Amino acid sequence: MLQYLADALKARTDFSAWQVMKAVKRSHQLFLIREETESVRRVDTVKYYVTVHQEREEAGKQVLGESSFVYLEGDDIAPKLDLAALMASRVSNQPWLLPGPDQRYMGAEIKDNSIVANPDKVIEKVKEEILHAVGEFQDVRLSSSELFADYTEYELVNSLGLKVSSADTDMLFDFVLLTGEGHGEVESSGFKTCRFYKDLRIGETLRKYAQYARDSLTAKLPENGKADIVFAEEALDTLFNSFIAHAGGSSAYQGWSRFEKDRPVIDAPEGELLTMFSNPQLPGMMKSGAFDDSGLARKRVEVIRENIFKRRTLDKRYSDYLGQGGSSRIGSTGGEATGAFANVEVEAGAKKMDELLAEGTYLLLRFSTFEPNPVTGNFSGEIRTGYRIEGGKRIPIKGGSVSGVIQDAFRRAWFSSDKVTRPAYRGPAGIKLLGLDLAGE
Amino acid sequence: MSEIVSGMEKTVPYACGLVMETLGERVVVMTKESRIEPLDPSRGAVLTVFTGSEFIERSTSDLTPEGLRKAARELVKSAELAGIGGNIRIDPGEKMEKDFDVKEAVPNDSVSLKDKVSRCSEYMEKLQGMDGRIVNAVSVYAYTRNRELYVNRNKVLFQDLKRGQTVIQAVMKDGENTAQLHEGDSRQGGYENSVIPEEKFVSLVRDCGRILNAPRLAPGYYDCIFSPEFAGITAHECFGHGTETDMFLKGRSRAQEYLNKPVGSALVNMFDSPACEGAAASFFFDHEGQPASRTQIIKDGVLVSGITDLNSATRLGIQRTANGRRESCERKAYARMTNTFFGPGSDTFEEMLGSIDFGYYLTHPSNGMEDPKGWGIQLEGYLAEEIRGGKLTGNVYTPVIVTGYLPDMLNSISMVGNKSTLFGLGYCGKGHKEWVKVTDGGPYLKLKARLA
Repeated sequence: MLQYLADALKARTDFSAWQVMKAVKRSHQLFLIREETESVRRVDTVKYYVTVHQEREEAGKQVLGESSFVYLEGDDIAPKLDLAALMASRVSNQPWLLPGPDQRYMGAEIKDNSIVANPDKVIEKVKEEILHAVGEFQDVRLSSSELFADYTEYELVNSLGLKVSSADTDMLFDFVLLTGEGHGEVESSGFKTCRFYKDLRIGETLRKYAQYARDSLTAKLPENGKADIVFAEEALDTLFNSFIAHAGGSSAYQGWSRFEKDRPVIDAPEGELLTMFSNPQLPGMMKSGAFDDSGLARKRVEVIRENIFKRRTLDKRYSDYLGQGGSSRIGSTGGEATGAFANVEVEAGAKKMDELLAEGTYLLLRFSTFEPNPVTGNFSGEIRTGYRIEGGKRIPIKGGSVSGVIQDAFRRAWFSSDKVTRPAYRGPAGIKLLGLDLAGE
Repeated sequence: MSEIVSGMEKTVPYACGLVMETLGERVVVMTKESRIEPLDPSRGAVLTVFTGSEFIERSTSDLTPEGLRKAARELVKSAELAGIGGNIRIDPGEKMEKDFDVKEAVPNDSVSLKDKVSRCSEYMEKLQGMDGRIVNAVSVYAYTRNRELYVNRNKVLFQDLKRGQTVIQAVMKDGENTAQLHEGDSRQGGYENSVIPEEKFVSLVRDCGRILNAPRLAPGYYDCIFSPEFAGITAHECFGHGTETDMFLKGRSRAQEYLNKPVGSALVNMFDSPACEGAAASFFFDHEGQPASRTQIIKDGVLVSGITDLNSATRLGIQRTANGRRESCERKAYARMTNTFFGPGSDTFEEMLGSIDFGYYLTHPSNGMEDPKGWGIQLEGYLAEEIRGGKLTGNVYTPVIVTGYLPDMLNSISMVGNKSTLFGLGYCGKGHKEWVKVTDGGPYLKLKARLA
């Protein structure tokens, strides 16, 4: 089918370039309510993602018409190509070139062969581990859980002769634990994604979240006012959203990026200086992979070195738009293009986590939702699991909110020397930001 | 499909089939680039069997007769392996065979792509020209068509749902400060939904400019007026998620203990209805074959009903409502909201304003998160305007976060506006995934809330 589509695209004279990516996905899913199976599902899909380019002259200027569509088996290809041509004819973007065949791919292991070979067995094993782990709790019960074991194969070809393939596995584990009785009953919910079965670490994960549930029984609102906050665990997954957006190509091209090469990313820093990488080559991580959805080889990039902005993460489009494409009329090696931001890798700081957790500091692990605005850097989050350090002990807190602006908050930042690996983050286990607004009692 | 379903029921006590197709197009015109694409189409079938104790499903994008028969054979075999038996009976509902169709005043297909692009370009250029601080102006028109066929032993139902959506968005920059805001709407129908009224351009540019250099407000507990949009997100997060009855089954919702008990002020009435004519999240039947109807969730402050999917209604022995929905064939059905809103009261915005000595008017909500077990609430928005002496002062703050304990918030509602409005741009996830189209809305509400 891929060849059929490629032949159909080659036969068209109105496309200056094209690309097809085939994605074959198999998903095994299990849903539990308490310890009983609610539903078992298997999903098989095959999709072909087609992109067409139509370079032309318009008012004496070269412009690019472009469009994309998804082809499903059984579709008639001719009307889809006609529609894509029509849509492309109404687009007049700045030209850019698809990646050429001379890519140097640096892979990372992101496929678990046990999921490929026998997903039912993996799901069954995980179910047993869940029931075993929960069975050991005296005071914590399983409310529900959902397990997904997915396997996807990709194959990409384009008109410049690029041909590349890959495969990956994903596991998703979503669960809710309950503890307490009657009106005092509370829940602790978790959501974990990983590439490999072994990284689910079911027992360890459930024990940790069971403790969060227990702590929640006695948790109080934090006090209103300014506070020093250590962000850890789930909070680290999105803390760098705004840095990622401002380091990317679209923000620069559209004119709202705050970052300029060789300039500080945070004004007048008083704490430790941020060093951050985009890294698609970390084995087993969710944003790892050899190539992006245009077939461009993804690279590890030093984005920020000691608070100085060094290099943008650019897919091929924005690399060409911003004049860093290494393009030629016969193809494109990608030049400075790196692929969009991959896993966040942050350099550790000097102090141990315990040193960051000074008296009066708050340790915040989980929020109802915590999504710093990528454009403005504004952030706020209602606290689901947190602790106030009092007399060297961790006193549980819950409710209330922490808020601030990322570019102000990171002026006084400290990074722990202890490191942690999360689905798409590797770096300090704790990041301390001083003087943030806490709203509580 | 009927043959396949009856074939499966020779072995299992209950079977059904759903075929879903999503088609559409999206035109996006930005200051420096544009995109015109068909929507990522989703097309596939999901076959479901119930063994007497559990559901087993097989989803496939292979819709050939042989492909479907093969999936059905594999599914029945899986059911036999899992074990058929158990004392739970699925009600297939009353006999019904019907086709449903959303009408388009201006059929999307009757308008040329050139005209759609022209309108989006015109909107983008208009927005761009309204304020020199706008660095990226965006105009979007999207058209979505969902065709769905549901079959069980009693029902053969087909619906053709169409909706149009328009959005304008501005990103403003002033020195180191940036702000972004959007306006728009989505309704069922066709190209008639592509028009954005002049006042939305004016309010978007005015409010985006106002929040560009605005400070944050001092955290505290204040008298507030929520705009109808803010009331909508409150309804959705407050007692929308908490009354999805699959959460009852999982022991995750405190609302279960409060059925037929007061949960808010007597002024509070709340509904979920996929039967709101023209609303973007309306349909004729849900993904489990239940015909659409309105559910009153809260009546005069008393919680009176949940919203159900087939599994939870069956196991809890409660009445089905039309809320069994899937993100796509690739996903399971859950109890989900549709169009969720507070009902109107009798007060005007001016009366509410006049009753507040010091407080804030909240508008432009951005997101929220549910906590059905703990009844905590988190809502976020882009703009809070100060109220002093019964008047808006023009002093604005951004962003604004609302947190608190749900019954406290609902009990504090002391005035309810006289007109309820739905807003069509919403999507809703279940936890961190399972995105479905929803709308929400309400009237202006006066209440007390903890802001930061």
